[in-house]
Amino acid sequence: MSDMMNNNDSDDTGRIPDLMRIGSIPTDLQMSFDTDVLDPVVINDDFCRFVLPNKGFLHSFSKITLSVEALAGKEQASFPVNVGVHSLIDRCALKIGTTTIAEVVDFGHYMAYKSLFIDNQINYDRENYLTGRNNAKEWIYKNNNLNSNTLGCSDVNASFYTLKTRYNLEFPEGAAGTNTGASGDVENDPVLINQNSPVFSVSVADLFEFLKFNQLPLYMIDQQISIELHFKSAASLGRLVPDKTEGSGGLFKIDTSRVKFVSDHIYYDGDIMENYRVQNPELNWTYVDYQLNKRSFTNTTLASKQVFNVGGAGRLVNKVFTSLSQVFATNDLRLTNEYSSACVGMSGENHGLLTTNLRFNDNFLFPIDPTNIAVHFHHLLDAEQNVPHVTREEYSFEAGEGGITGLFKYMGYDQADGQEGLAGKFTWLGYRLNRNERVSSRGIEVEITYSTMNAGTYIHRAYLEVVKQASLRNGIFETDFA
Amino acid sequence: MSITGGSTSYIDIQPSNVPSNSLISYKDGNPVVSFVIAEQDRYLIGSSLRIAGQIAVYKTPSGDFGTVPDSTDDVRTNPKLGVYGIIDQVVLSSQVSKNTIEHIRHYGRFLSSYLPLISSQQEAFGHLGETACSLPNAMGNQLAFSCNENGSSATNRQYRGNSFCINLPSGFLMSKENIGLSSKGWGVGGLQIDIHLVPDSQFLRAPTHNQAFYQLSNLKLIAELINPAPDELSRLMSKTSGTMEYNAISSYYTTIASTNAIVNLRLGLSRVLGVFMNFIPSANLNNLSQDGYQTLPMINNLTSGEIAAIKQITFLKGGMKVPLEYNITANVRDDNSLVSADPQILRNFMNSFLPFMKNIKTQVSPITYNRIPFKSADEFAAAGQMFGVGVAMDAISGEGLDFKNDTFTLQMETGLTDSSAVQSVFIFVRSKQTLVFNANGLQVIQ
Repeated sequence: MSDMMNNNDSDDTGRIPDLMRIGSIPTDLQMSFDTDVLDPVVINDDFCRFVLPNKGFLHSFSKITLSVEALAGKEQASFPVNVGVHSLIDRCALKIGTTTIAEVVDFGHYMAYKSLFIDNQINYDRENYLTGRNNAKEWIYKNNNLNSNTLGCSDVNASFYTLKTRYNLEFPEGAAGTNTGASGDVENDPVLINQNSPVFSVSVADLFEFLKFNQLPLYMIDQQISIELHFKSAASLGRLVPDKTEGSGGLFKIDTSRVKFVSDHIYYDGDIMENYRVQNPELNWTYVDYQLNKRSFTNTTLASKQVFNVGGAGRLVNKVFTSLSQVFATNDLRLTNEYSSACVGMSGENHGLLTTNLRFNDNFLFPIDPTNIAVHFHHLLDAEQNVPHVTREEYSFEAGEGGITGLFKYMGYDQADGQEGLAGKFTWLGYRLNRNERVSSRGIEVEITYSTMNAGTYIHRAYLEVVKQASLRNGIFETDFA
Repeated sequence: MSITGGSTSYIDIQPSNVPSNSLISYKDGNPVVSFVIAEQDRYLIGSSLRIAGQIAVYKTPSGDFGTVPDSTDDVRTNPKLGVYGIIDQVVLSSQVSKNTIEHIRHYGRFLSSYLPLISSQQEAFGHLGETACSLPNAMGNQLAFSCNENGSSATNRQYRGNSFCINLPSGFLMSKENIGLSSKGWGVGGLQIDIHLVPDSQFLRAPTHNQAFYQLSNLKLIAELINPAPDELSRLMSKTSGTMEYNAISSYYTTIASTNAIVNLRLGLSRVLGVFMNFIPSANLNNLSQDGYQTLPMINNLTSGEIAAIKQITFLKGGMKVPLEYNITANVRDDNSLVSADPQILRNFMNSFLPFMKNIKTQVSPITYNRIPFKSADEFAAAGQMFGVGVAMDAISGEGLDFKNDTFTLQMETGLTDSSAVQSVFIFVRSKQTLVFNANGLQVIQ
């Protein structure tokens, strides 16, 4: 505020803050909101488009509501625990005029990565109902499966943990000291299952990350502003996860009557908005967008060093994050559906070795190829500058004789299983390109070796966070790579 | 390719005193691990520094390695600390001048209060589990960590035990300022990091396996360095001296065994921000039968499960009641049967780490901070008891109180009636310190 007051301009326009940048608006600036509930201009089971009214500033946490019709025989189905309702979206794009401002492909996988960084307490308290995500954990103290430990059932010793839900909080209790008690089944909250057709919402700032830092001045744009969502195909089985007893399959349909855009618009008092327009006939800013590079490997090829180009030539790239998803015919019979990233496998009790590095501008990012899985986790944290909230078994498979429970199923699935459960399903790798250089014409090369993997085909996804620049000149929007 | 400014680089450093087989264990005579970040014209990002490697726990030695315990062997480590429990002391010093910058003793005891007080249980399940191999329950931690048989079989063996990658919470490394490594007047002249390991008897609780030990392998230090841009470097070269300010941790140890417990310390520190302490029966330290990292309420007698209540606390500075101008009178003073913890003691304890109102994540709860009698120090729900006493000296200006010449005194009225139940008190003082350096060396102004 004091900086603003130091401006020498004598008229009101000199005191207009940067209204686009979230966080730069003084606390004593009056603002008002209105909320529109917009229907899509085009909607079917594969696609929808919203056209935004050109008024005020778009609040970055405006929501798009999504729901799926109840499907007979799949009453217990719910969204994948790690991505929630985002699994419905395959691709999203923000368009102004004919220009695509931001676009994310394989959005479910992208959100599987972004969801790693949500505190699980927030997942449990809030995201469970907003987006259907829930990856919080809790101990099981009523523990029949305490191997042969003489303590048996205990109120203080917990051998395993489970997904934390608000349902079935009391686990079945066997006789103290026994090793084989009746197992239970942890269920999702009933209000969140397909039978009740819950409505969830997706924030536009989650769809287009640059909106977390900028709010669009819609009233200054003279072109049509639209948001397009391409839905994940129902036939791909990538939308929901049925209870295991309900089996694979089933075409979950988008409930098109409940797809709305709850659009919040911000207005400022007096002449501030008009003065802001006059003062800024040309607005320029930079933002980030994501490019996807995708290819497939087999477990055999992954066992030897794979070096491949993931693009980025000539671009300013902040970071690269990658996943490796195993392809299953019945992806829906997994707690994470297809939205997971496989860890290097095990041979008996022995863990495999995951070796990686990244090369750009003729130099490797890391001086020695990292092989320690905890170091990979650290580099992921470093790339995102945020902490991934996944457990050791989920990221690295390392859990000895403990970890996630296999006895208490979640929706019928073995939580500790590396295929249908959660163990080793969150091994994303992150690389922060820290040399502050534009990538040369050779692009970025990723090197990976997974010494041991289950037999099968895997899809490797590499998302590049590239810097773009946008300009808004006399109501016309333009964008290009920085 | 165009360089648009200064860049950063990762480094990967092996210990300077690693044995030829790359295996490090206290048992085999490697109580200190040293890393050297050489003197160079770059900055170290202190918060990026990590110690990484693998750790295995064995119940009995076998050749160079050992036999991994199974769930019936009852070989445990502290669930709050995980790998952090192997560290007894951290010494940070200049590589060139050898001057000590920061020296934290009783590091595991410090972290056994610090970590659970500022992290939630979900975080303990999550990233603390992945980086430090901890899980917030003694049994769960035992099964997932000690009983990890990875590497036991020779077939397709890649490494042994558990992978870890931990940071080193310390005032100097967590300072928001980047650390100059140059010896030409704008840095500390390289950095030597000495990590003193704890004995197996402190790290492990293995009542039925007196040969149990831990072993480290593939140990290394990774960090990120800033390469100053050419114009920035040229400007730095003209500097002849510099300063850095950071919050350091100083540690002290004493014992108490009376109903009127008095701790007197000459801190010699001029900007003290907070003091906190945790307790454990002295007999439980360095004892394979006990977890030496528990932060228990004071106890008279484990057999009878009698807790020695703290009835009143007074903090003194030079004989004056400072910073609290009153005695903390606990809820149990008039009713010894109360099992609920005293909220005033707890609040001041938590406030000594960071302002209470800003501490939004913690594992402290009625389950982990209470006065419920216990007959075994091994059976606590969640990550165990998190008892402690502390006080913030200055929560307003951030400059701290001057204890250069004044004595810090803690006076406690306790229920310690069993004179054989000697309690160890680990005291940690958080204070602001200034590091002054030039081409001739460095000096820490406390």
